[in-house]
Amino acid sequence: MFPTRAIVFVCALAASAAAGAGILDKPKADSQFLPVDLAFDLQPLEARDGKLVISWRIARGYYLYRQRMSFELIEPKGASLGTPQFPAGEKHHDEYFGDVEVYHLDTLAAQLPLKGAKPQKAKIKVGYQGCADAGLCYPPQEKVLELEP
Amino acid sequence: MSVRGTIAAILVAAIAGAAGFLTYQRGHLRNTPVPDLTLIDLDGQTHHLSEYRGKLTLVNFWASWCAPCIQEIPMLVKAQSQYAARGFQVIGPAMDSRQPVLDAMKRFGINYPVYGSEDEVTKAMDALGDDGGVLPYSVLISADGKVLERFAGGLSQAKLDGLLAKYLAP
Repeated sequence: MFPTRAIVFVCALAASAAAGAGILDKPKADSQFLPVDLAFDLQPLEARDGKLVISWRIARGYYLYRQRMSFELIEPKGASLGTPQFPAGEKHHDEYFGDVEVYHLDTLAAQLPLKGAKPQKAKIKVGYQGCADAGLCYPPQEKVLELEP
Repeated sequence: MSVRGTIAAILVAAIAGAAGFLTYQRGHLRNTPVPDLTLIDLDGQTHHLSEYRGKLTLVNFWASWCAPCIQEIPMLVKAQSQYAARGFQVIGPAMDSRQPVLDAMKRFGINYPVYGSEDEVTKAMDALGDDGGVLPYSVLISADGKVLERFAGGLSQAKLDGLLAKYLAP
């Protein structure tokens, strides 16, 4: 159990930092958007039914582009990825971008068949890009995920 | 809590407050002088933001993969044509590679200077308060080089008209 003085100290520390950061008085102007990793929370790499599964938790009001996702298998060497399988997204035709498909799902999972190896240990480079309904976009992201046996 | 513990607690709280204050300063750039940012044009030539001193300058960070950025370009092209003679200048640093930028410039008839070099653009975005790297991101800078307004996300025609009415000399 925390002693009362410790709780008071932690509260004072939090208030000090918050006041210094202007959180308590900052007007609701710009910067009312999530950091990219909270908007599109990439989950640890999983293996299910012989496939690699890559998933994101997507914050409400944010979306990912199907066409801007990429997957590159780094390990195991000698293996390769099959065609990624996605759930159906929302299809749009954009005058500039052409046909696009986006996902507003709470959780988006892509399944990737692994050819030439069992999905027990793998390393994969994942690319993705998304935007907010509020009218702003995040730069393309690239992350490496690893699956340990 | 001992005296030593109390002093340590005060020191930690002071450091947290100072760190928070620095964050606050970065978030509130209004009326602060803009650093003389480096801009690299699409031919690789180096320029500086100070070249636009004397003009009301809208720095519009954009990219060809960003739909809200693309949507506001025609409005910016029109504003550049309409208000250049009154001292308004749009510039468009692009967080993008060269060819897609050239394609977009041609397609939309962009009539204001566009800059590339993702490293320099990233530095400029950070210096002007776009810590999250979101696009579009626009910063309106006064003729004497101070930040007037900042916007994350697309500008509406009404918003741009309001800004020009407020800050552009008649």
